[in-house]
Amino acid sequence: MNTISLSKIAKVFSTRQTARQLFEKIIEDKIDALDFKDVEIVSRSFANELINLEKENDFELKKINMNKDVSFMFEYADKKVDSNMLKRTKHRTVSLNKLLA
Amino acid sequence: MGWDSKLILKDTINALRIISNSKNNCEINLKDISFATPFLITPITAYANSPHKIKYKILNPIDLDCSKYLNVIKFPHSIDTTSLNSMDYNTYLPLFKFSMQNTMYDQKILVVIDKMITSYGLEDNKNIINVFLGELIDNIREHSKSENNFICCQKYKKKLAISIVDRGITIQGSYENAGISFKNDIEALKFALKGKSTKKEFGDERGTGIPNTLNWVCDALKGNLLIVSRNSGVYRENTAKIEFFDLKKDILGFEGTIINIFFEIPNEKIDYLSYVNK
Repeated sequence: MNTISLSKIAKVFSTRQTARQLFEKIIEDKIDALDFKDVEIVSRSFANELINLEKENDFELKKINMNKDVSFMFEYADKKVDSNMLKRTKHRTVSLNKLLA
Repeated sequence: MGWDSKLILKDTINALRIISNSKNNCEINLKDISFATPFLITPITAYANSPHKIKYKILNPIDLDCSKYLNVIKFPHSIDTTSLNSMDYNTYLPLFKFSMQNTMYDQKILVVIDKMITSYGLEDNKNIINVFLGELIDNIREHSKSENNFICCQKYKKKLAISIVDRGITIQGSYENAGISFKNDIEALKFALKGKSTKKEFGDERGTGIPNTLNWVCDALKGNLLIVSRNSGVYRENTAKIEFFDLKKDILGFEGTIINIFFEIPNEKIDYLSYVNK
């Protein structure tokens, strides 16, 4: 198995662009496993982009040593979520003066 | 001046007024300012470093302490990655300029944020800060088309002020470019809070960045979040109602997006994953 240790690159992975760059490297170096040991967190966007790239390219990377937070983000990144805050939270439109008062 | 909860609002609107006034004479008048926060200074810096290359004359504060502070945080020119290693992040992150057109910047910004978090005693809640700042920076890259972006932070006692400003196409402009119509600028901001993505063709899982950031800042950290984009804004003070407001009547609109965040550094570790929209 050709594994890349991600903590050698960074401990935090946040952006979709980082996922795209990483994926280029994965293809170039024929990597088939990602080692998340010592990676502290990834953003949902990063995880979602990586998963989408895997689907588009029809292959699945093995992901090992994910901590609880990283694992949550990957699990959650692949789900359709209800992000509609306005359904759950009271909201209104106010004048600027009222807001500043 | 105390750092009360309305400071984020007052200073952002004050910044917009100063910017608006400068449009007539290309003079940014800060003479009457006696206390500067990232909420005030970051939008003005983004404006003064105009992508249209307009030269603004800056009238510095009469208040000497305030004037000195502006020098310390590198107003108006800001710093870039070349100055990063020599910086001390104990209580502030100076005005830091970043371009998302250059891919190498992604990790460099994260390194800055990570240093800042560590210096500010936020280690226990490192992940929540990293995740929402990462999402906001990602939004700039993915949507704003802006080359001039700024971040500035200030810690004051136990409170942290963060301002991220871009001079891009705005949230409304991003929906317009995607062919999504709306009746006014406030409605476009509502779309963003409803999780309506301009890139749905890439999957239904998109559009979670702003809603989750609101959850994390307001619900988890009990902080305040203010977004101004073009002619409208949205504000939430911890778990209170979300309030949308119009800027057009006051001619305070901003050509870009301002995201200002204010919260008290928590004493305990927050289970931030439980605040994620599911």
